Amino acid sequence: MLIRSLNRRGMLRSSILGTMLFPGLVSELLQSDAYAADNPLAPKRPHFKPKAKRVIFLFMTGGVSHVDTFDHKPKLFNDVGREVKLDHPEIKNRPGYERIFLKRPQWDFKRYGQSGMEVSSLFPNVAGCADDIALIRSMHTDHSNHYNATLGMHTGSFAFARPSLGAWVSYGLGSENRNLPSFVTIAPAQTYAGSQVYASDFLPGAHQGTRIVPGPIPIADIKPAVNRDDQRIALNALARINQRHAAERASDPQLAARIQSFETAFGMQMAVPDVFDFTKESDATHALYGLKRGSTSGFGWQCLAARRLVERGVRFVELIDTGSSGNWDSHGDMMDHERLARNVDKPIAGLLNDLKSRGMLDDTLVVWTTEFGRTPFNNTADARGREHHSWAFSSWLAGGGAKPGTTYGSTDEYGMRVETDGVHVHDFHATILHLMGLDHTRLTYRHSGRDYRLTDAYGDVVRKVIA
Amino acid sequence: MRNFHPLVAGLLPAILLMATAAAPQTTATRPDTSFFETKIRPVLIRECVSCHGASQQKGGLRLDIEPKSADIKRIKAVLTPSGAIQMPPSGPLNQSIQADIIKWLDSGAPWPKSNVTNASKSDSKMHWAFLPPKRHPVPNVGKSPSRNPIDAFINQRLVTTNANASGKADRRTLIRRATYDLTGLPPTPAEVDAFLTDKRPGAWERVIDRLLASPHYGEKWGRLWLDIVHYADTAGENSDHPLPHMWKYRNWVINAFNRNIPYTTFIQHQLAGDLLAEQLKGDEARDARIATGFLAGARRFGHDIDADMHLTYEDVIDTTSKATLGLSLACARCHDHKFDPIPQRDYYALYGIFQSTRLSYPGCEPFQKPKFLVPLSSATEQAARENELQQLERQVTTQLAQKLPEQSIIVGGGRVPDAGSVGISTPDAKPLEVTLNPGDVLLFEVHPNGNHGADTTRLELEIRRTDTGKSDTWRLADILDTLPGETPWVGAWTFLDLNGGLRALGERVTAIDGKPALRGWRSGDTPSVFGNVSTAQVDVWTALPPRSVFAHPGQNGPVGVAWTPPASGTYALSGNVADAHPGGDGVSWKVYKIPAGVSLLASVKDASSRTRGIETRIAQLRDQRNLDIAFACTEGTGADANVQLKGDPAVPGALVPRGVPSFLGLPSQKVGSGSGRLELAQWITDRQNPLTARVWVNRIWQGHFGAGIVATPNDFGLRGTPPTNRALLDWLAITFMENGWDTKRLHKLLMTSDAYQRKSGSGERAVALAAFPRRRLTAEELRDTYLSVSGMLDAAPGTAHPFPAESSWAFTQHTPFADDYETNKRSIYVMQKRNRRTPFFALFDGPDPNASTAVRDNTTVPTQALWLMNSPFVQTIGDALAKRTAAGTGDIDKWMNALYRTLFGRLPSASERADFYLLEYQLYDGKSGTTPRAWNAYVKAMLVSNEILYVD
Repeated sequence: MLIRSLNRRGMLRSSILGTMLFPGLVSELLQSDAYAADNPLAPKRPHFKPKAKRVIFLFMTGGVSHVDTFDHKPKLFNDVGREVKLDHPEIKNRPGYERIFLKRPQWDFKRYGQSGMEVSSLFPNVAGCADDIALIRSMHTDHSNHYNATLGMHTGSFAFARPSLGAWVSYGLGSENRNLPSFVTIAPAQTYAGSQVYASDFLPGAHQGTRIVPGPIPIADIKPAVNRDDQRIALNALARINQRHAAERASDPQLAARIQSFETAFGMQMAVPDVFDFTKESDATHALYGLKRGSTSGFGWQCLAARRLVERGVRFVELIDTGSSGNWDSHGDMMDHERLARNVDKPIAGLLNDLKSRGMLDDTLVVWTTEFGRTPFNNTADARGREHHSWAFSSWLAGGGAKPGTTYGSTDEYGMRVETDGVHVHDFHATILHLMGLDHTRLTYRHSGRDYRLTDAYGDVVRKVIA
Repeated sequence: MRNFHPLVAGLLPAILLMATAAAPQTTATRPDTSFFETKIRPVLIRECVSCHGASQQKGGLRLDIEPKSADIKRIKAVLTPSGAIQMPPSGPLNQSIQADIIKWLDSGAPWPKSNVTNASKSDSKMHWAFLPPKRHPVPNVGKSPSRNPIDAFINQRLVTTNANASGKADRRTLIRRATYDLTGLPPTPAEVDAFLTDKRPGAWERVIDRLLASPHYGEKWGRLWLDIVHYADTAGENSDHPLPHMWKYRNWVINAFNRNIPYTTFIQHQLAGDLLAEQLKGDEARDARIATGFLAGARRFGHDIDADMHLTYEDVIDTTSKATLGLSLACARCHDHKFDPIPQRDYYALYGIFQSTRLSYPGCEPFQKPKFLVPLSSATEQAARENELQQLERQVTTQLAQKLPEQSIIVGGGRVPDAGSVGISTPDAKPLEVTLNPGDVLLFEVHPNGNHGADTTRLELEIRRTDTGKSDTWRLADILDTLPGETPWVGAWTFLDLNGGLRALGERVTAIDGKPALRGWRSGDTPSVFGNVSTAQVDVWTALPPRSVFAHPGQNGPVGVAWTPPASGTYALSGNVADAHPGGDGVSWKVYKIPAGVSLLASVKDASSRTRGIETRIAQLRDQRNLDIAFACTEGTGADANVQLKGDPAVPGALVPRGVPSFLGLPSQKVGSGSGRLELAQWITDRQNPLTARVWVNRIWQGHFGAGIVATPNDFGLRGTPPTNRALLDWLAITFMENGWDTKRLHKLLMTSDAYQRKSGSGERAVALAAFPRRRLTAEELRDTYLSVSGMLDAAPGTAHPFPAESSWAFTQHTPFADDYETNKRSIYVMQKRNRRTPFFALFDGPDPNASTAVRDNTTVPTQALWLMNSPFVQTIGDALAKRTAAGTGDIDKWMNALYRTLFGRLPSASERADFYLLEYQLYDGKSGTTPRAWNAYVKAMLVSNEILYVD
């Protein structure tokens, strides 16, 4: 049978090769306006000249205590055990919380850099980058539930699913690398509210965050089902089949786009493993991120992967440090913050320094945040944990046009409430979009008869954290 | 609309005008509208109006309205970088855009008149959709051969625009189109042949009738409704509780389509089926109650869902109004509707209705237990069943359980901490050695610690004979290849429920949680003894390692594995006990030596055989109990609602009597002491309601022609897109009502038009229906096609999902419900979660389980190609299809014929045959076996080809 086939092939070969001229046709289709207009990830011009071209969004899951990390409250150290009266959402109608007392922070603060920014001993390495950071101590949010606050920090909506910040940025600016998604979330485990935090929701599906799971298969179905050469041959056969199908019909951009999508996917199969292949990174770089060669665990891997992704033109990279359990939600014992800080402190500093030394920090915005802070009080003076606190928390920006060495906003003497220059989640989002050259009031999408925006009807750009 | 370039889609007003431009009277007077709207306005909006618009006019220039003629020169000058001033400030526009703008300016900068964006309240009173459908005369288009009035309406437009309609598609194309459109599946080769050879008149009508009568019709069109009501199998609150009874509503929808109940009944039962059931009997009454799952399935929010019920009522109001009226009343939650004449009090009049309705309660983090589930049978029937169940359970647990003999000796034991693992040994770390005689029993018991109840416990047990010098060993893992077996004893091992005595586990399970790799024996949900028999880890409530045996104690009682020796001797028990499900209190274990003489296991086995019948009956009754409950609604306490100022429930405003909306000015019945749902259902389905029939015929139209006559099917309001052919829409709505709201008849009416039977095309010709709009398969159609052509489809309707038992629920926002269940049933039966969308459906633009989806997206992204190329699912399908088509013969021509007939209902052409030989040639690597390899590759390429993915 094989011999017979070969004979028949011999006869057919020349005529088949003749049909291989088709790529010309496909590329013509692809270059047509119709296709360009059909590609939702084509790079787009911002509303105005941007300071940052890309974002790395570091999300600390569970609620990082501001008074133990970036918001120094000397009086909280002194007034430990003092009873306070508050109308706080986390104690309302909660048995055992009829009385509450101030709780002392467990880590000391020091001043760092020329700016003299005060940071606790939980983040010694990040503190070393103080002069690159614009610290916001007056963040506040609408909800003290993980799920709602996490959804809010990602989508600007605290109850309903809406497009994620990364999806909005992708929608506004498109992508610069056609072999990689425009919005990537590196998440070893799902955080609160699941995939909603990186969903495109009503925005076109191309803006959906692609979840990367550290390990051998970072993106679903990225591993070729057969060896690469065989796959190329099979894809050529597919292209021939599709070309004949297209030739029998009047030009249809969606058929051309589908043909192209296989080529792009083929490219992604190369590009994606290349992003996560760190073998060519030096020992020094590994050391900078606190990463053991060959290891894919820990935040160091995520940070280095983020640098490699933005280097290749990915627009928005989010890193989620832990999942919906085993995170910063230290109700039981604040000492757990030490383990969590150790996991991220060196890698984050490594990322900032690495971007800086490569000249990328100027146009790469690094955002560090969490969903809410933790209470400066608890129901006994010697309680070991802290509860959820939506009234105040700290976040910071670095690079990408953020004003270096700035501290913005303040909370009251105990870190209870915002005292000056409050920054709501909507303001935070407006500022991030602004640094990307996008006006949050103009970045809209019509859905269900209404123009939606990331910031709903709110949000003011925080001008003072912009360089 | 959603497949437009996002930038363009973001500028909906512009597109609204494009749609208007398609109307002939508009195009005749303003030929430049389309050029302006596609090439110019988007650029102006994107680049210019932020500085030269309504809010500021830098340099006195405004570009959101028609520019003054004096400005035309100025604009032209700043476009090119040569001048002193250059615009836009972010850098020059690209050359082709510049050229377009110059062309526009040179033609005098014509500006189309806007008639949509500035609608005022006084306009809205006259808004077309709020006026009754008008009986337009069917146009006389002269030479049209079609007797279907739809063609008269469409051809009239084509004639005015001088567009030539494409000819009729061939029969093979038509039957594929019709079969996908009515059933969501490809036609079988036999169905294609039958149509091709049916030369009698009326062949096409017979195909339509056959397809409308297929049970698969409801599985396709039911999905449309489930999209609109955002059906899901979980509640959507922070821990995403499963809704184990929701599937009955899903199946009700499917059956309602199949039974073709009038659309009015369809709506009335969903809103007020419980009230209507009082006049119905038997299955009809039962079905009507299930139908109210429409309301009960609304999304829940937050941590304690009762605290956020105002959001759930908003979801109910939004879904109800969008689905039936094509309007969003939810906009009136915080203020009078900005665009449509919907006052805030209408929102709270509806709010009162739904607040007076008791929805089944799904459970949430602080209150895990569902309540207010709606029983479907009479109180007498329920009592009889519960009584029988109680008696049988008592019989099994008390009378037939064997007592642990008093002579039993505990020979070992210990405690396993949460997520821990301990070795089996004596306290001083020596092997556990026992002397056993035939008839003796070595019993390994696992029981829960503390108050968190049961934990999955991994058992690695090994028993070795130590007194013979021969190393005879028995491993528990040896049973893996036999599980579940025919009895709860496999080899020398027996699986026991130890709650209150000893009895064999009674229920045989072949797929725990829907995973075929998990097999074993249980009693109820727990206790159980089961194995992961596969060589891969199985992720269910916890990660279960491959090739392992597990014991899962019950909430209150232990579970056991007993072993009997073949002969007298000394035996050593060793191995490991591990808590395989972190996050509880851990477990404890004990080993008993039970002396012979009482022939204990013989009695257990004997009792087990005798009770098998009873246990089967118990399982039956438990199933019945589950089938007898619906997640639905009943009347609550009738109470009016206060307006919530700015939508905040904490700030009440005036009290609004509950009742039907006022904005359409229709007469309304007074709501008595009840909720008012029945009155609402009647108001919606009243013939006088100008929206209901129009909205429904528009949806059916969209299902056949890709886009609705109103392109925004959930928005017929002032901000929605006006109909492209209002006369046709009104004619269809009136005809539909006159035909008794008969949906199947409507399908046939549309499908027998010439417009439906044209050759396919894309772009403007398809929009005008001069050609039939080519479309991509939906996510469901794609998956179902693959299952169907590979022969793997389980075509029987789906029923309940294998959710974990209610008694075991402990979902939190930290550990929400997150299972997935594999099935080879049609996609409509796949379990859908709200908070963690099934990746496949998200990838191929499936419905949003959290919000009403009126139009599916149509994206083409490389991650779809990755799935098509590499996913295990497509690979498995491809392997099965390759095997199926190449079966029985070595003749490649026959393989090709079989493949093409299966996939496309036709034979391959010469060049298609050549494709295969080229592929084989290129894959040839000097070794044998190229042909099967090439065949496999070729089949997989055909599977993902555009001829499969798109319907002509």
